[in-house]
Amino acid sequence: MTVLVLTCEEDVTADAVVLQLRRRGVPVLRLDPAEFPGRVDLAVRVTPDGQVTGHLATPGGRVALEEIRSVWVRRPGTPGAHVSAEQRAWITLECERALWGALRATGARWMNDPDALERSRHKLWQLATAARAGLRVPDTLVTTDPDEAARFQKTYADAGSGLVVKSVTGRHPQNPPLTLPTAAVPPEADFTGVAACATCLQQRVPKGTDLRLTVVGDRYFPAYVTPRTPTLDWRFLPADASTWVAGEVDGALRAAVRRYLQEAQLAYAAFDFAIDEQGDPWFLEANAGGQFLFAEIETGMPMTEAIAAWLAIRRE
Amino acid sequence: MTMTPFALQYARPQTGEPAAPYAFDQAEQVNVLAGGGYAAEDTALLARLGSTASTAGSKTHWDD
Repeated sequence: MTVLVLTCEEDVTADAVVLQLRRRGVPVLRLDPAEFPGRVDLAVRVTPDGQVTGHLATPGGRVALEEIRSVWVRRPGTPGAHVSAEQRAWITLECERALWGALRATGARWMNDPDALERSRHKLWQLATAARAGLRVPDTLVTTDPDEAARFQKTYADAGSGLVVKSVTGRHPQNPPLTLPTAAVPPEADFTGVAACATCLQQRVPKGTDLRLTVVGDRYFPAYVTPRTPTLDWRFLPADASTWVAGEVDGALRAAVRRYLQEAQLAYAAFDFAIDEQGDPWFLEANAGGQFLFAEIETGMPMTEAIAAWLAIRRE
Repeated sequence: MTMTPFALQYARPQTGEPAAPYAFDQAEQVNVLAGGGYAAEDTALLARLGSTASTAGSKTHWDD
């Protein structure tokens, strides 16, 4: 049976898993949904007795739908990316429903299930879910009300900690292309611009170290990250600007993370925690599509092997 | 005049990504270096390019 990898061509992180699967003798078909229709072909038939048969094909290979053991949703593009402008939106929707519907109908195992993945993209849902799971989360306000933002800032100015501002989505503006790391909000900030777009403000956690905790199934890979120069957002530094240490997490954190993943119905996630001055972890986010190979390179922890092993399990 | 979103006061210009010395090989289903070998196995190169970093990704594909 075959592992189906959904990602773009430039995804070298996926390459590492493809090579690992190949070494295990597990067949792989890699495709980018952005190439459908076009270089990717699909045929799927659902018979009156509920049998789902058909195939997916690329210039590099072909798989019968009933032979897909697992689907790794990595960096898939949107179908219809290469069709002409006329009726493009309609073609995209038709093809999206066809491809993702066919894969949902196969009964294959998912890393991660597309519905769970979509829900987990919402930062506010993440924070509420993390708190319910027993993780400590920073007080967070998302608002378009400048007065509400100013009151929130005063609360944390009075408490002596201040605020940070970050993107609600984690995405960066592209027109023109900008980078938006987490940033400290200065005491004199003018919140008028909050009215122009939903804005995510968050209690600033005093920290010296971050924890990047990658979880694959029931395997935990904790990497402690300490920037050489104190910074709010280590993710925008070159890897060699921080010290990386493979470490452990205690039973309480492990159990809370497990509860989060169960509620989120995720098989994979990369968690970011801030470690405060008392050594306590604060949940910042859980990225269900988070990168991991850079952390493996820095720490030597075998995340690629863990993902390949999870994907290689045969479906029931 | 359009109001600038609050968060964008803290944004900075995006730096261009360096050209990758590898290309996707359809038959292999992975990226192959110009001089041969698999890109994913050249960890020094990946670290230098930031190809696998937390912020690495495509503008047109799902990401962080």
